[in-house]
Amino acid sequence: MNMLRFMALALAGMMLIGCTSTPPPRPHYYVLDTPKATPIETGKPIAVAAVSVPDYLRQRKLVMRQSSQQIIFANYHSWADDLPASIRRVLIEELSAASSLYRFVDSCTDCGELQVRVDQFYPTDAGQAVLSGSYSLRMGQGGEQHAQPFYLERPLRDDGYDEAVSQMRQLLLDLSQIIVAKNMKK
Amino acid sequence: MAEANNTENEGQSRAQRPVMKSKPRFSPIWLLPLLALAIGGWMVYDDWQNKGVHIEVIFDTAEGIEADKTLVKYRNVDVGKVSAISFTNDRDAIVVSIEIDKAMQDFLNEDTQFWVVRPRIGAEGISGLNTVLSGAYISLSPGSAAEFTTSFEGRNKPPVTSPNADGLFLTLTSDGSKPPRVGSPVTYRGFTVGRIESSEFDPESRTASYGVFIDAPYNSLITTNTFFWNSGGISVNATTEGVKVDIATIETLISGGVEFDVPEDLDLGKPVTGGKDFTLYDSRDSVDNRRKYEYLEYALLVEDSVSGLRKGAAVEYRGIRMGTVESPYLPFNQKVEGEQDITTDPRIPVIIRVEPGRMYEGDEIDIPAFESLITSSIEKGLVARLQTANILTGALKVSLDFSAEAKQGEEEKQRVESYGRYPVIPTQRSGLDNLTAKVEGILERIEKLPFEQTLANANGAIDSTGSAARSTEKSMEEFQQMARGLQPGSPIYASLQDTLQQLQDTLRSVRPLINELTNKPNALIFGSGQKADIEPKAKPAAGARGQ
Repeated sequence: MNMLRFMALALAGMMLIGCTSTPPPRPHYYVLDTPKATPIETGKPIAVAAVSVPDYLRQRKLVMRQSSQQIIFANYHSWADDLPASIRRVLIEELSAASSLYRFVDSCTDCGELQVRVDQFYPTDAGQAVLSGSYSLRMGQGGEQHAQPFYLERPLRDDGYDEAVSQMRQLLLDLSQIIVAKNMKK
Repeated sequence: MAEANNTENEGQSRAQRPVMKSKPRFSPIWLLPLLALAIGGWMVYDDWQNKGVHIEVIFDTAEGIEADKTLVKYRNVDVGKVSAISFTNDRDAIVVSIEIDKAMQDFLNEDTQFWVVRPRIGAEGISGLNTVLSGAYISLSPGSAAEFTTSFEGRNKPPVTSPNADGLFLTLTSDGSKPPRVGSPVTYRGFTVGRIESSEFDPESRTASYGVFIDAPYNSLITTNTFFWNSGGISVNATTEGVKVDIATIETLISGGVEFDVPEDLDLGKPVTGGKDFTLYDSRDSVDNRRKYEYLEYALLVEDSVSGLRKGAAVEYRGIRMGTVESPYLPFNQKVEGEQDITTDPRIPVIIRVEPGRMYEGDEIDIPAFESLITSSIEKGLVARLQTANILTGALKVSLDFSAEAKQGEEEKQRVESYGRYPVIPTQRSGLDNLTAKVEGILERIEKLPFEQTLANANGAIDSTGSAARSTEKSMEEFQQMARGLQPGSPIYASLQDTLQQLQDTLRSVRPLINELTNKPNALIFGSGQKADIEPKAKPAAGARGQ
């Protein structure tokens, strides 16, 4: 009986100790794309293949580069959706908006193809948002396909991951415009 | 007038008175007959002085011979003339009387030979063509005998060799079937050293004998160990080693010939000076095969067929000729003393001769020592087998070797049996016979196999396999159908992909928790104690730049 009481008291005490600890920070979830109603598009279809990203980006936590070689993962700031899928959706949206001759779709038959490989997609502690990698575009079936590298940066105007995500979204827009400008306006 | 008348009267008286003269005793007129007489006498004397030697030569025929016309020549020089031709008393031959010049008297001896030279065509060529126009003549060849004679036997053909030629005269005896022709060459290693002078066949002994003359100085090649063989024609020999064609010279090819040499395994022997008889062998190979050696006789009791085994076949020891088959079988009605006959013992007795001389060099051979060697070999497992000697003809030979068990050292000591007076060498089947027996055994076993039952079982198995195949086919179709449901693009495939993706996301999310718990196991109770995230800081505004 004394033993039982002692154990109950100990448990209660531990719970009280736990209650006195600092409550953890609130988690934040982010999305890249902002779906909006798109008009019916015309033009030749080009399929956008699945985007490939490095392994450290294949998870939901936001990433920041703290030094030239160090990456830190945020514990309370995460992507709400799969990052590669989000990047792909954004690219489809922005490329279609930027080109009048072509429309970019998930898949099509007997059509061109765009493949994108992302190597860096994160903010840095130097106040920059970085997007780098390469893409290869085949305009039609049987057309040539060459890999073209890209490296894009945008400065962060404000602190925090909100600003970082916003600038990262802009970087994808910049990439879309570059792709269209270099390959489709001839 | 009176005086004139007196004178006239005296004159007339003188005229009327005969004058008496004395008559010469010898009239000159007799000179003529005397002269004639003298000449005649001188002629007679001269004729008597030069009268030749009268000889008689007996010929078989007087063809080409005419009295007082046919000449006798020696080296194309006239030395005599035929004076008369008559018959012998028995009218069996022709007696030709010849006057030979006196100066040639010393040519007339017992060895002198006479023959008629007329056109002849023979293997040695065409001779005597000059007599077509001039007529036949008699030629002589002087002999070297001392005794003078006036009666001669004429030859039917010219002598092959001159009687006083320098060399060696031999006789060869043969029972072969290829008689060399008279006049054929006798060669030694391709060189012609003599000729065959004569040939004679004796019906009683059924042998032929040939007179051979070897010219000097080649007569020194003839020794006691010389062997002669018939080298005429072509000799074709087909053995397991191949086909051998033997041709001597063109002359021997056409007209035959005799060759001689000393076999390699014998020494030269002592030179022969005359009077020795030699055997004429059929061929060079038969010299090695048939020459007489000292021998030991043995019996083989053969269970198999002896078809193809002939007298004179080789007996070999591991390929080395060491003997000859004397008798491929004993006649069935010839019962060997002390042994069983064919009705009780079906084995065929083959008699062989083991000839140690074939394997020894030189002439000194210890026969008893060789005999004991053979006996000890039989005790150790020496066996005999009949093997094929010639594939083309099927001829057999006897091969001696140690049995397989003896070679491996497993053979026990064998007792040497005897068949009458012959020691027995045990026989074994040859490799080919063994193979045949084994193949027969295998075929018998195959024949005993239950083929019908096996076939029936196989048919049943095929039927059941067919039905199994049909059910398998059905299963395959169902599987294919199922697989189609799982192909990319199918709803199940898409659902699977989504599920896998969610699983991966979940695992990624759980990984930090697992790391945390690994580092701080009480984090579940006391919290991880994590501080707030380090957030990126802004930089002084700058234009977006890209590449």
